[in-house]
This record gives sequence, structure tokens and C-alpha cells, in this order.
Amino acid sequence: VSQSASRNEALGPIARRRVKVATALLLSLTVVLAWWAVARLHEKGIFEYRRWSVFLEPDVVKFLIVGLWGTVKAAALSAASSLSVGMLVALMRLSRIRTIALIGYWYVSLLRSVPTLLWIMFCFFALPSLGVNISSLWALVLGITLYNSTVFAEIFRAGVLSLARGQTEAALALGMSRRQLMRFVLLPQAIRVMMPSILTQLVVLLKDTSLGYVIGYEELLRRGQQLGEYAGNLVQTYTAIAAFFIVVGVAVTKLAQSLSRRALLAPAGSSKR
Amino acid sequence: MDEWIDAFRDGFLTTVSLSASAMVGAALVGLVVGLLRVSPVPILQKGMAAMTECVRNTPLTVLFVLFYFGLPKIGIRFEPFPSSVIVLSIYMGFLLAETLRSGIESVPKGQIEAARALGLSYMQVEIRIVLPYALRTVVAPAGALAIDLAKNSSIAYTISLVELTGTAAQLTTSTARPVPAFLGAAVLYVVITLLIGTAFSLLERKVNRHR
Repeated sequence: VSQSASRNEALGPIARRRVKVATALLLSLTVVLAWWAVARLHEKGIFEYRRWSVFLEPDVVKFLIVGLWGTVKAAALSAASSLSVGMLVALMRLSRIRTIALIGYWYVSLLRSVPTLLWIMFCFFALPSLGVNISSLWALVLGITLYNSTVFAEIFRAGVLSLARGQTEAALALGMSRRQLMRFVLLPQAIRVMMPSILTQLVVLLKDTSLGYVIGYEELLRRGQQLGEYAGNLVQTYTAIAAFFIVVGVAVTKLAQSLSRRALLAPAGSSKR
Repeated sequence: MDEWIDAFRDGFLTTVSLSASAMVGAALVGLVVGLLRVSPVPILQKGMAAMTECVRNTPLTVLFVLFYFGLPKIGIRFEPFPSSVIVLSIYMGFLLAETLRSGIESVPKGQIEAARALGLSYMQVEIRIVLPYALRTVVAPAGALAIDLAKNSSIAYTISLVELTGTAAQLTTSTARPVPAFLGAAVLYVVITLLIGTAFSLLERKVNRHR
């Protein structure tokens, strides 16, 4: 059943006929537009076999795989550091010591107001002048972490705050320390509740690695540019790279959706206060 | 010192005007796509949902370079500023459409049924009843998207637009002092996001006055 069918009343005979007419019109319009676009792209040589067959050459595949490896490496390192820094900052914000909570608050507020790209360029161009020598990979990872850790911190914090108050009370009544309460009761449940948001943000983080292009880090987009300019198929290469990110993104989104459907049937701890 | 002030002023104004133009564009794209996504015609819904997946899963950097460096190969060419406005409007517009869609779907069914019972047509219901309700719930997430848009405008640097990020890069080359260049730009981004955040919380208060 389509989304709006649940929203609108059942369609009457006239409306059904209108929907059929609209569908037919739109289908023919789509066909005409697609035909026009394909013809125009064909005229400009976009579909020429030689521009696509490049992707079948072993050397080209190897060249792109090195770029893909760069992307995967940067994404994995950034994910690990963003998640751990994010967790640390979330714990700071939840701390009962005012000063620590305040530091966490300012970390999040200030760092997330600045674009990821600016952080990456800051790490790459400004850190060396402060005496910190940094490779393009680590500048990218550090820049991505500075921004994404604030998002993960907020996700973790929201997860802990969403848990029923009874969870905390029961754990304290059992004689657990605050540390044990966090580690064995609140965090495991918070991570479970927040898994869909965490996965969604990890897709954003993966997309952010393409900013490495700006500082000359050899990831997929930078390699794609080199290939496209060399082989004269820039449009084809960029389209292929976009398709790669779309496939990965859709797969992770589907996973997140199935998890959030299951989270609806989740344990007592996930219910709201 | 004058060099710094001039550069930052130009960069700041470019980022602000780029963000403002793209916000208008994104609002238009978002409204059209959002309405198409709740239309009773299945092909429109499905087509727009598929396009949303494609747009939001592609890195913005890829969209920028594809638009600015790729499209001239098939005879479509724009200057950096209009290119940035178009790319940001489409990208953020589809994201806005997604929040608008969930806002529209959260409108109580009874409201729609009552309006239909009073004899309003589908479009009248959408425009007079559903949209006003939905727009209220959308103000807060739209504010978050507007802040994201201003931050995402920094990626226009990849197509050689000299906005705030580009200004910091240029100052780094001309003065060899990257730390104040980038920190200055960072402070100005904080100012911009604060301004947008304040504007939207005022708007939110205004829209929810009668609740």
C-alpha cells in the first residue's frame, strides 16, 4: 500500500480514473523526456562504448580499487575515532560534575557549528604551522572526527535520556555504582535504541570522506578525477562514483529501517518515561 | 590588517548570499517534491522517493564536481555562484521534502476527513488544511536543515567559489598565516549558524503562538 493511501480516503471511481489518466500522462512524459535526454547525451558521446569500456580494463580497475581502499581506510578510522570521542563527550555531558558537563556542552556547541570541510582544511594547512606534522589521511580523519563526534555525542546522550527512569532507579537500588549503572545498564540499551541513528550518521561520515578530494588525499573521488581527465570520461566516472555511494547508502538505510522496526518491539528499557 | 578585514567581509557576504539564495531555492524544490511525494498518483510518489534516495546518498562534493566539471562536457555550463545555488537547492530541497512529507503525514486524519466531508476538493484540502498544519511541524527541522545548508555551502570551495572557506584558503596562501585565517572563518561560521538558529526559533515561536 502506498504511503498516501493510508493518509487519504479510499479513492472513488472518478478519482481512480483521474489517477489512471495522470499515470498514463506522466509515463508518456517520462518516456519523452528520457528519450530527449538520452538522444542529447548520445549526441555528446556520453554512451560511446570506449568511454565506458575503460572501467573493464584491469589497470583502471586496480587504479580505482586503490582509491576505494583510501575511502574505506579513511571511513573506518574516522568511524572508530568519531564513535569513541562521541561516547566520551556524551559521558561528559551526562556527568554530575558541572564543569565537566559544561566542557562537553561547549565542545558540541562550538565544533558542530563549523563545516567539516573547514575542520579538514584547518588540520591539513594550519596544524603544520603549529608544529604538528600531519599526513592528508590523518588530517581528513581528524577533521571528520571533530565534526562527527559532536553528532554521535548527541545521539548517545539522547539514547541514554530516552531510557525509562526506572532503569536508573532499579540499578541504584541494587547497589550499583554510577559507573556500573552507565556501563552495564544505560549504555548498552542506549546504543541499541539509537542503532538506526548511528547507522544513518555513519553513512554521512562515509560521504564526508570524499572531502579528502580537496586536500589531495587519494580516495575514490580524487582517483576518479585523475582517471576521468586522463581517459576523457569525467561524466561517466563521476556518475559511477555517485552510483557506488548510492548503493552503499541505500543498503545501510534499509538495514537501519529494519532495525528501527525491531526496536519498536524492544525491551522495557526503551520505553519513554 | 585591512587585507584581512576586506577578505573576511567579502567571504562572509558571499557565504551569506549563497546560503540565502539556496534557502529560497531549496524551499521551492522542497515544497514541489514534498507535495509530489504525497500525491495519490503512485508513479509520482515512487519516482520522487527514488530520486530522494539518489540525491541524499550522493556526497555533496560529488554533486558539485559533477555539476561544475562534468556538465560542461554535455554543453551545460554555469558560473560557480549559480552552480552552487542550483546544487545546494536541489540537495537540500530533497532533504526538506522528506521532512515536509513526514510533517504532512502527521496531520491528524480527522482534519482531512472533516474537510472532505465539508465538500473541499483534494487540492483545497492539501493547500488550506494539510499544508498549514504540516508547515508548523516542519519549522524546527527546517531550521536544522538551514544551518546544515549554510555549513554545506563551504563545499562550493571545490568549484573555486571564494566564500568563507575559500577566503581562509586564499589568506593562507597570501599571508602564510593559516591559523588565524581558518579560526577567523570558523568564528564567522559560528556567527552565521547562530543567526539562522535565532531566526528559526523566533519563527517557531510565532507559528506556534496559537497552539
